[in-house]
Amino acid sequence: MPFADNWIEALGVVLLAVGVIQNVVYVLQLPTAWLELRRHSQAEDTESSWQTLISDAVLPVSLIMPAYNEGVVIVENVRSLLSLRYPLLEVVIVNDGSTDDTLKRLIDAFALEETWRAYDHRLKHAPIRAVYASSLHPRLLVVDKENGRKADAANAGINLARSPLFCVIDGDSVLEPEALLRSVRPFMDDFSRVVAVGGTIRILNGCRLARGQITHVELPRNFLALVQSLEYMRAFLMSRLAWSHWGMLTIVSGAFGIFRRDIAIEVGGFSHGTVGEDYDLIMKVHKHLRKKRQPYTIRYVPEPVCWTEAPESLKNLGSQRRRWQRGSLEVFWRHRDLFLNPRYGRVGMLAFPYCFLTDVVGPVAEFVSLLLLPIFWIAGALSVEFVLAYFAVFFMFGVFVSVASLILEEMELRRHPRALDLVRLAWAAFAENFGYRQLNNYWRIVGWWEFLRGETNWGEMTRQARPAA
Amino acid sequence: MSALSPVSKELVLRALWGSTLTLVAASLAILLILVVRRLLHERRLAAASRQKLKIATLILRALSLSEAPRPEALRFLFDVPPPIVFDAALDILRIIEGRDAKRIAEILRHWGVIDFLTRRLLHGRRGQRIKALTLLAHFDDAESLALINSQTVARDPYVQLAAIRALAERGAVAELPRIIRQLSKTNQTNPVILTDVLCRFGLSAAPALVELATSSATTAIRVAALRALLKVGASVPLETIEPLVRDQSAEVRGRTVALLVNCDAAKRDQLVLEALRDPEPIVRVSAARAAGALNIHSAAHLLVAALDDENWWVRYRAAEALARFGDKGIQILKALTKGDGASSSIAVQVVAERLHAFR
Repeated sequence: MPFADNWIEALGVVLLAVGVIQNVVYVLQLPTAWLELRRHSQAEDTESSWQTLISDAVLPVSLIMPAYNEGVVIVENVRSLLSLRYPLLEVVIVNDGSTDDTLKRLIDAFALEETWRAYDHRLKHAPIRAVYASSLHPRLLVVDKENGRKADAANAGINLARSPLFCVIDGDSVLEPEALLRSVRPFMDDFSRVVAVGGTIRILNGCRLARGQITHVELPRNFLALVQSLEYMRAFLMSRLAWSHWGMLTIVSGAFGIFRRDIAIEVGGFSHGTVGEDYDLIMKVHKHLRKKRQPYTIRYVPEPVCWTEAPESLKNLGSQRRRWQRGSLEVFWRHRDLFLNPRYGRVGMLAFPYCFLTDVVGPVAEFVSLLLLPIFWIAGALSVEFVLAYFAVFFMFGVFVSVASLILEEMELRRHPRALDLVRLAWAAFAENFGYRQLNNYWRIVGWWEFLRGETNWGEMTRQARPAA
Repeated sequence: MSALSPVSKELVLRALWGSTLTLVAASLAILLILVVRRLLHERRLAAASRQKLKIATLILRALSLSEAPRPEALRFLFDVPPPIVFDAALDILRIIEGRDAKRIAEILRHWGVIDFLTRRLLHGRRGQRIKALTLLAHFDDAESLALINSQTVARDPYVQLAAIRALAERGAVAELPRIIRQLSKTNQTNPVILTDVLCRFGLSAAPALVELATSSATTAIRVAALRALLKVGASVPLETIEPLVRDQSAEVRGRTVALLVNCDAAKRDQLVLEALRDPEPIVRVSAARAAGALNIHSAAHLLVAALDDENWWVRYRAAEALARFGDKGIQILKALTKGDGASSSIAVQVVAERLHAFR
């Protein structure tokens, strides 16, 4: 069967090539991330942050939080935002047509009164019903609008915001008190060039909170949440730092990112009809500014941390991962003209093709590998020794990358307080290879299928009141 | 694999397993190093915080004495690693000022802090150098002044800013001409923090700030000087800044127009009216705000025209300026609400905003 043999070998080479390219990029990312950290680390410079805090030497920021049926946690979340250490802060809560008592709780807790704010209706969004302000909390503005989903609510918030910078934050996230101070610094250094800055996202599960602030950091006890802690660490500290260094960052997380308001408005704000609206916004910014030939930079700063709740059940995690996969594919499809297009420079020629490899081809290649290698072995095309050796080297490489990313964690953040936490994270790096990675890949394949079927739903995520300290 | 000879297959397999074992060994080694390092760090941190607390208590006790302690009474400082004494002193200096701060500086001088700070400034990392400069701000001798001055030429913009801040804290206005010369040659800085630092020199720095604003420094630095002038409320002779209203940089023009509110000359209103016709929105926004703040009624027709500006902020600030004119301005806005188009829309919004203003 020479044809079958050739076909099998060709497929094997393609699958191997996809895996090898991804891993080579990982290898390059590690030293690059280290270099970036050495160059821009703010961890030791506590004095500059302190001096900034006690003066008002910052750029004003509008913190926008879309809220839909967040009645259980909304008051605590808003209190947490109002307690952030940032001298020039405006908090804009956008009640996106909640069907629960979100708005009533806000009105009662913050003594809100209906007011009026002039604004430029540049970004399209569902109609605004009313705007509320509080004489007790002058930094707070609450916008009540008809339901239009997260991107729509964020656009309404951007329209009403008055600061040159805005930050959209998820309802289930907690910002560290100095997160804004640290993430705004790149804008202050070079406002004309820096258009967006992303911070680090960490898993909140397991931590203890009091009055909306984290009082005790601990790794989650739940295995799924623990593995996600490691995933986030790997993705943010290694991957994003490296892409930031190369000037090719293609995503600033929707859970915590700061943007220049004028640029976001120029590109039309967050897009409707996609579940990857954060990814989409960054791609729009790249395209717009590259077309205009305007020098710009998008940065990732590791020091500011936003803590967010991770799904602890397979059902919720699966729903999230399917949605992420759909979002990636939607964005890739919307911006396919970027792919290997020299007009868009290294973003079009390198970063976007890498997204193609990891988001479009990656899950399929990994799934096919997992499926076909045992089949080839049964068919006698591959020896059991080769199948085992192949899996071993790829699994162990994944473990090595995860453990190596702990070096970056130790250099900069050290958010997990005990040495034992490092051991637990290393254990998670090993254990994730046996079931979690395969399951994750399965969800991504389902996400692919849902994308092909044109599904657009967000899935349900119920909020629970947080455990107090 | 089928195309490979048995020897090649064996080699491939060996390479794969060899790589796996190498990765296992490397991962375990990294983990071990990180864990040991973390354990040592935890132990060091605990010991350091205990010592820091003890030193802070002793320093505070020394402050409570009616007279400055004699050098021999400060022997306790010599048994503790210098970075701990330094950190403890800095923590206290953050919350006290005046005579007590000077006494802490005196205590530290007996201990020999200058040598330690010199080493830090020469060989330390960014954060350490900035902290050293913060501490030096509390001294008043020539040696420490020279040390701070040596850092105003630092390449790291944050170290440079910390040095200028230290000079400002010491009220070293005499150093301003040198700082201005240095800033004129600086390419990179954080202009927002620079504004704040320059403000700390106070009103007496106004002539030097004007010099900086009109110098060949980068736009960001000149804008910082103009913002500082506005923030300290310095009254600036119009003739010194008039050329800046026609500067090439729109940002400089905009900031200068904002500064006109501090000028007291007949020609000032004319310059605001001129700026309302500037091609750059950033300048027109400043001009509209200045027209409102200065109550320039002769600008009313230009402000009404600005309500149809292509830029929303120009429209909004123009409407606000009209509203600040009092009844006459409000009447103009109310009349405009009956029309349609951009001017009507902004007039409606600003009138409504004023009606609802409770803050």
